[in-house]
Amino acid sequence: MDDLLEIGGKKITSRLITGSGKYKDESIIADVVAAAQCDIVTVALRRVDFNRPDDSILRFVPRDKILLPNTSGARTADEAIRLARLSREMGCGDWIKIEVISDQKYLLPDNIETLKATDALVKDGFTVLPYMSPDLSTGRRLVQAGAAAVMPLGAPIGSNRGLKTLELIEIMVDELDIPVIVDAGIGLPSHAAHAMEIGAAAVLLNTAIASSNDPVAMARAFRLAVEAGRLAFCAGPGSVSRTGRPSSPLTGFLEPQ
Amino acid sequence: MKSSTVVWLNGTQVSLDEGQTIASLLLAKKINPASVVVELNTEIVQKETYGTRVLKNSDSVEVLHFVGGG
Amino acid sequence: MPFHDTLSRYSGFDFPEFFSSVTEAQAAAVIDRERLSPLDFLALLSPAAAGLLEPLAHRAAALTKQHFGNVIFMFTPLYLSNFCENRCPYCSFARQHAITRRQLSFDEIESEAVAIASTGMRSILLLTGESRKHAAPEFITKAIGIIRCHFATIGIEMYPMTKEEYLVFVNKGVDGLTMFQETYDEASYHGFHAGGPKDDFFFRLSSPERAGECGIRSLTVGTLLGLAEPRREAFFSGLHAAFLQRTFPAAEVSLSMPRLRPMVGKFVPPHTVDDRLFVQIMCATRLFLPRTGITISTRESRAFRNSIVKLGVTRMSAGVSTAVGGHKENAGSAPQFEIADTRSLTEMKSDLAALGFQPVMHDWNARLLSPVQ
Repeated sequence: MDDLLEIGGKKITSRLITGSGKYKDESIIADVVAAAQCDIVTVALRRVDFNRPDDSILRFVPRDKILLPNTSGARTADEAIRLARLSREMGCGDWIKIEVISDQKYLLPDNIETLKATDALVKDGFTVLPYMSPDLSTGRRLVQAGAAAVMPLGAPIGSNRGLKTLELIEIMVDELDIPVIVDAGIGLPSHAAHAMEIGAAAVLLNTAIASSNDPVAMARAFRLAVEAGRLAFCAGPGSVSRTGRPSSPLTGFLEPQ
Repeated sequence: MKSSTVVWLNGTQVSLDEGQTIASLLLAKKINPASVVVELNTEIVQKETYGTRVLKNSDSVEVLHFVGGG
Repeated sequence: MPFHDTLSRYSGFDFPEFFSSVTEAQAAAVIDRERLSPLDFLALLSPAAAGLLEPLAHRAAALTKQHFGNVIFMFTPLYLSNFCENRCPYCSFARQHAITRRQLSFDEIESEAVAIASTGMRSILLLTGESRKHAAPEFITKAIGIIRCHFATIGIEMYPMTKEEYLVFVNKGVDGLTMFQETYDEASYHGFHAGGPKDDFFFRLSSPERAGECGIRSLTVGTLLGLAEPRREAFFSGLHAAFLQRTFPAAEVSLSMPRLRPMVGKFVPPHTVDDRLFVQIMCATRLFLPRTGITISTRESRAFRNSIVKLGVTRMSAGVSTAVGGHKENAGSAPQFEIADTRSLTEMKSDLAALGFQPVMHDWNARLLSPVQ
C-alpha cells in the first residue's frame, strides 16, 4: 500500500489526525489513538496548574506518534509565534499547527495573522500547518510562504456541521500543490469520507470523537471512513449523470448537404 | 529573617527564598522539568540552564506544558 | 518548472494504443463529468467520441453560456511588417516566397490604426514576421506608443522574445500575448523550421511563460491544425493552456485553433482536419477548460463561424486584412493567408445579433490601472 502522505519530509500512513482535547477523561486517549490508528495527534500548550503538576497530556499519547502542537489561545501572529517557539522547546519536534483566532463567537481563524505567522515560523525552521478559512488566494500565499500543508475548515470548530465550505475546499484541492487537510467542523464519519472522496489529503478532527458517547468506537468509525473515502478517491469515481436530453440539434450543419 | 524574592509565577505573585533557581523552583513544585517549558521575562529558558538561572525580584516566570487540544 | 517538462512527460505515451482502447461509452461518461483530467480530455478527442458530437456540443454550449454568457469579444489584426527570416512552408511571409516585402512607416501605422478604430474596433492584435533587423523591438515599442491611444486593449503576435523585451512592451501598454507553437511535435517542428531563428522549439514554447512573468494580462496559445496529428495537437494545446492558467492565475488564458488555409507556395498540409473533427476538438476543449477563451479567426468561413459560434467561441476577428497596409491602403502586398471570412465589423455585429450574441468591442481599459511609460 503505497499511498503515503508526505508532509514535512515525513511519510505518513494514516490520513486521520486526531485531537486530544475536550475529553471527559483523558485516560481514554490512548485507546482512542489505538482505534483511530492515527500517526499524528494534536495538543495545546497551557500553563501548568501547580495543584496538578503531573497533568501533561503526553502521559496518554503514545511516544511513537508525531506531535502537532497548536497555537490555540493566540489572537495575533506574534502570540502564535511565541507559542510555537515554546512548543518546540518541549523537544518533541518542530511541527506546529497555527491557530490564530480573534473571534470568540464562531472561533473562525484570522487568515491574515495566520499568513504572517506562517511566514515567520517557516523562516525559523518549523514545519508549519496553518489552520485557515478556505480561500484560494490565501492558500496560494501560504504555499508560497512555505507551509507544509494547508488546513481549511469544513465548518466552525466544534459545530460538527460537516463540509459547509465544500466548494471552496474542492477548489483548493484542485489548485494547490501541497496537501489540503480538512480541519474543523467534521462531525460524522460520512463527512470525513466525503472530504477524502473529493481529494483532501487528510482530515483532522477532535470534537466528533471526544464528545461521542463511545469515543473509542467513534475513532474506529472515523478510521474506516477515512480509508473508504481515500480508496474511493484513488479508484476514480464514475460519472454522475445529468438529467435531460438535448432539444434542438447543434451539429446539424455538419451533415452532408 | 531570610530575605525573599518576589516573582510572578504563571500570573500569580509568589515569594521565594533568595537564590532560587528555576530547577529548584520546579523541584519545590514537584514538576518534572522534562515535561515543561519555561519562559523567563518572555524569553525561553534552555533546559540546560535551569540549574544555573537564578530568579530575581519581579521576574515573570511562565511554566507551560502540553494539554489536550484540537 | 516550465511547460516543456509537462510536455516531456508524454514523450513515451502510446497515443495510438490509447485511441484504440477507449470506447464510446467511456467517452460518453466523460461528457457528464465536472472536472476532466487530461486523459478524460484525450478520450473526448479520440476517434471513439466521433459519434458523440451532438451531446458534446450541447455540453460545450451550456458551459460556454454559463461562463461567458452570450458575449463575443471582437478584435482585428494589424500587420506591421512581413519581413521574415524563417522558411515556414505554410506561410506566405516565408523568406523563400517572392512577395513584396513591406514594413509600415510610423505615419502609416497611425493611419492604419485610425482607419481600424473608425470602424468601432477597440481591440487590436499587432503582428510582424520574424525579423529583428526590420521589425526590431524598438520599432515595435514605438508602434505600440503610436496606436495605444486608439485602442482599449493591445495584443501582440510576433517572434519569441526575452523577458526583458516583453517587460518593455507590457510597460508600454501591451496586455496580451498570442504565441502559436505551430506544432507541439518536436520532430515535425524542426522539419518545418530548420535553418531559421524559429527552429528553437524551447524558446518559442516558453515565451508565454516569460510574458506571464511580466504580469501580462492575457495569454493566447495554440497550434496550426494540419501540421501534425491533430488530436495530439489539440491535447497538448489544452495542456498548455491549463498549465498557463495554473502558473499565472491572474492571467486570462485563451486558445486559438487555426486550420491551415491556402497561401502563396501551395503548401499541402500533412494532416487534414475536417469540419467534424474541428467541432469535436473545439467542444472537447471547452469541456476540459470551461473558463478558457477560444478564438476563431477568419481562416474559417462565414457560414462555418456562424454555425460554431455557440459551441464555445469567445473571441472573433472581423474587418480583417492579413496584408501589411491592408486597411488603409489596399496594399498590393501579399496576405499572410487567404481569408475565408471577409465580413466587415458591421456585418459581423449584425450576424452575431441574429444568432443571439452580443459583440463586445471593449472589455477592459488596460491603462486605467497601470499607467504606461
